Amino acid sequence: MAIYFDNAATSYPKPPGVLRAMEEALALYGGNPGHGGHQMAMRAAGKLYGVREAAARFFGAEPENLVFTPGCTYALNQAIRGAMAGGGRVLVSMYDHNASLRPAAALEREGRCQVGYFPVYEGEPGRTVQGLRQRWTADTKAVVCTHASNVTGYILPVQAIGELAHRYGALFILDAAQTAGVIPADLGSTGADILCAAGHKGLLGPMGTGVMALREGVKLNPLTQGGTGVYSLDMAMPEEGPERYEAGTVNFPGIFALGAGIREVERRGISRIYRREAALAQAFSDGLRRIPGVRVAGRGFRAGEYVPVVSFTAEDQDASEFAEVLSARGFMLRGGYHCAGKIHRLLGTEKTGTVRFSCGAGNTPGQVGRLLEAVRQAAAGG
Amino acid sequence: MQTLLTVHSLTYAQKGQRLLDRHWIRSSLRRTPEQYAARGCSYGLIVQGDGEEARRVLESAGIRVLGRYPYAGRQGGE
Repeated sequence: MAIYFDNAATSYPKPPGVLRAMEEALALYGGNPGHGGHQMAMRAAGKLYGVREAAARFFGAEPENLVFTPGCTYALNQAIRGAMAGGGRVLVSMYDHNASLRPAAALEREGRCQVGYFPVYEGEPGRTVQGLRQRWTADTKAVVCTHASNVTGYILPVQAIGELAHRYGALFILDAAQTAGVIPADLGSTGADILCAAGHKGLLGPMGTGVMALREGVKLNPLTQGGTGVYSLDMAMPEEGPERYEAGTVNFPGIFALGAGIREVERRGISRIYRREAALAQAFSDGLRRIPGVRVAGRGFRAGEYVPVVSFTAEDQDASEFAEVLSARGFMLRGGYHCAGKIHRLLGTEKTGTVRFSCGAGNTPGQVGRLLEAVRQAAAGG
Repeated sequence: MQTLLTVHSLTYAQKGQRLLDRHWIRSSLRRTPEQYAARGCSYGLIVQGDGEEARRVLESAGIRVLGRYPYAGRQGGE
């Protein structure tokens, strides 16, 4: 069977407890949580709240400020559109995923706000923050940045970015898709006002799940309107969260399984998870440097400064095609631009894209070694 | 005697129930009877007694109690 190295896209395999939870939810808790008062609906509501409480604790929020979303992209859309509802300017890092870049750009096209972009300098946090400061204007209302790049793995200086945002009275929106479940990523340690995370990457939950954690006091215009199970005679969404941001039926089986994923992350321990995966990423990054014709994008993996994601190019070979060659040899990596619209200009990889390695709990040092051999052969045209 | 305490949302009702548990106040969570749900559909907590202590516990934790009503409903809820 082919070996999976694409955990930055979604984690695989999922822990057995996550699979069991999904089945349990469908079999035992079939009622619509929060949308009825009968036994099954109330039982499902109770289980849903249990996951909400656990997720809130995980991200350092109160349960009423922990919103379940269909994914991190939805959470970022809600956060950015909500934060910029009154207009002004938003600053987004050039290392960000299109999940942040596109909603901001769409708002600008719609004439609702202006968007500025700030560069990221790997290994030079002060320079990155200085770049942000230089682009600040009096009408800047929010800063959006990724906690770690989904292309190079670089961990941005988010605490300093958040401090700058708060000094000027702006909201700080953080995309923790690549860090939740891998390194500490919560409201307190990051300084974020709004933290958005995917449920299906480091948190080991199923696709179709995500969270938005709000600092106490943050309130946004809801992105969608619909039934919430409460105040049905009102034509406006409820004033309070999380129902304010959860229109319609939530993905209860997915959320229940996400709860199992979070428990597994807590059981394994984030420090241990990071140490193990960092060792694999370090071995891969170091090994790439010994392969003729292969260039690591960015500075290459360094423990403590990067999450376990490594991108590379092989001469002028198209990254998507290179990844297909690796797939044919039994190694599943992603090749291309990784839905990151601006970083490639900074990395010099606009022409080819990059091949991205992102390991997870299912990978071993032996697999990394075999992958490096496959890369060597493919780079040599073999 | 039982009292129904209405709060803003199901999530607040659930949070409130956990909080009351920690204060040894048993409560059951249920849909609010429509006569008390001015805006249609809500959730509340049923507690024994007049609910004054429960109200204090909830409000000290920032959970606003919207209304306090004598409750003579059937058993059930969570």
